Amino acid sequence: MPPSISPADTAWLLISTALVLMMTPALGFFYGGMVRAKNALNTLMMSFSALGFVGLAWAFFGYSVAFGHASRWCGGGEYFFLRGVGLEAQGTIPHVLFFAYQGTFAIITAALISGAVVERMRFGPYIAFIALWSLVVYAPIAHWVWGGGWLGKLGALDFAGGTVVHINAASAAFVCAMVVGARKDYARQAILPQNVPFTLLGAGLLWLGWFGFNAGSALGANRSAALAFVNTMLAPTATLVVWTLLDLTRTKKATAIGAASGIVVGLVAITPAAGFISPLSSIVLGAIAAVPSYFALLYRARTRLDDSLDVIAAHGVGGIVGALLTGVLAQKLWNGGAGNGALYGDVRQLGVQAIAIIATIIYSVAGTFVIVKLLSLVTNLRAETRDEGMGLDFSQHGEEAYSRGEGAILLLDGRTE
Amino acid sequence: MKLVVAIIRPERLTNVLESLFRAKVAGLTISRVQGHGGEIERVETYRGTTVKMELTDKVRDHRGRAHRRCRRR
Repeated sequence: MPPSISPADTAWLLISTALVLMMTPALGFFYGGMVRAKNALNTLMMSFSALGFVGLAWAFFGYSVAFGHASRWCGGGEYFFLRGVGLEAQGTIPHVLFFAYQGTFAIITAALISGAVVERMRFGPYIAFIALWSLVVYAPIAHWVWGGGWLGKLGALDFAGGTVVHINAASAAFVCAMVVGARKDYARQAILPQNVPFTLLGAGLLWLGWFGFNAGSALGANRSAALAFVNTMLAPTATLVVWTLLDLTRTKKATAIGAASGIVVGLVAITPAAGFISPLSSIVLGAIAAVPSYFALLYRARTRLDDSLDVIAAHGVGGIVGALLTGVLAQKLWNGGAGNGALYGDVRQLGVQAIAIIATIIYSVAGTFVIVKLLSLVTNLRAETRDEGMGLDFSQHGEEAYSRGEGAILLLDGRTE
Repeated sequence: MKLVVAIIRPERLTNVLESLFRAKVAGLTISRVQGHGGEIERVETYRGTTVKMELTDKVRDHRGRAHRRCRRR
């Protein structure tokens, strides 16, 4: 009997796909609030443009590289330009829907990297970078874990993308921040967020979208989805509480940006574990995850590495803690036999998780370095110092986020002379 | 006619205006300015960045007091 399509699973995945797509604009607001006003549009555009450029790259090539069947290392070309991606069943949902759902992951993963290069990278090279990166780095790693590749076969547990999305994006962010270099004002001037409410708005919408990200990764409306959903609610609550307490201990103030960061770190950490651990374990995981990311974030600000919006501290450290704790807290009782963690008798699982983390970091760092270096040979990655000073909104986009319109003279035919 | 220039804290503006209107002041202009001096230390934290805000918002109050018109009322 051919596999049949389940209406319930299809309905949930339709909603999940829309929710995950919304996370990329949400990320734009999360990031856009933390830069200076003169770079607000550029930062938002770094996320929004991923919707277009990475989305198309995914439709033309990326999906096939990630979910084709050529080898354990990389998919083949059988789905290039959506050939063979039709209404037939893929699991219990239509194949086109599976393609679209996975595409939203490629888009947000590429957009996550932008946090490391905001306020200084030229827009053209950035677009070229994320499109190439989604094909050369993201798609193969997605294949390793979810597309029938070697990490999946090894038994690595990554429910919704702790390694594929977060550790991967953070490794790329590290390379980008190193190669592009620090902002000219970094560690010289106070660089303050232009709109903290935007950052909170973004964090809230990310949390909402993350229900589609994690619970949708069950690829059906089933028990696994329900577990992932509840864990996506619980883990960030614990992270938020611990983060706030750390803030209160350190500065005697519960900061709003801290709350937004804590929520995101909790979401990152629960991502690999969402459908594999019990709800109580997810609270433990969320609480533990707050601590390393909190201090990584403080430490990073004292280094010369201008990972401007702390992609490494939030997504890298949070992702590693989440992936490792998945190997500790996983319980067959809850995950339908997918695997036990070290705490429930299988110490080997922790080792497999470590292999997945290390392999992802090595490949992502190397692949990203090659792409960025090649791009830097053809063009300038950085805006001119003068343009950086004026802000990238004007120099890259010819717009301002908050123009007062004073002294603006109308040019009827768009001429500048 | 007297010209009085005062620099006050923004949150006191409403109280000052109420008092001035009660005292029948006819015209005034305010502008938003920033200043330094005498305030309590204001330290803010944004993730790993800690900053001390050395300029504080003030309101500059510029009022002309027309005595004769006041008396006429």
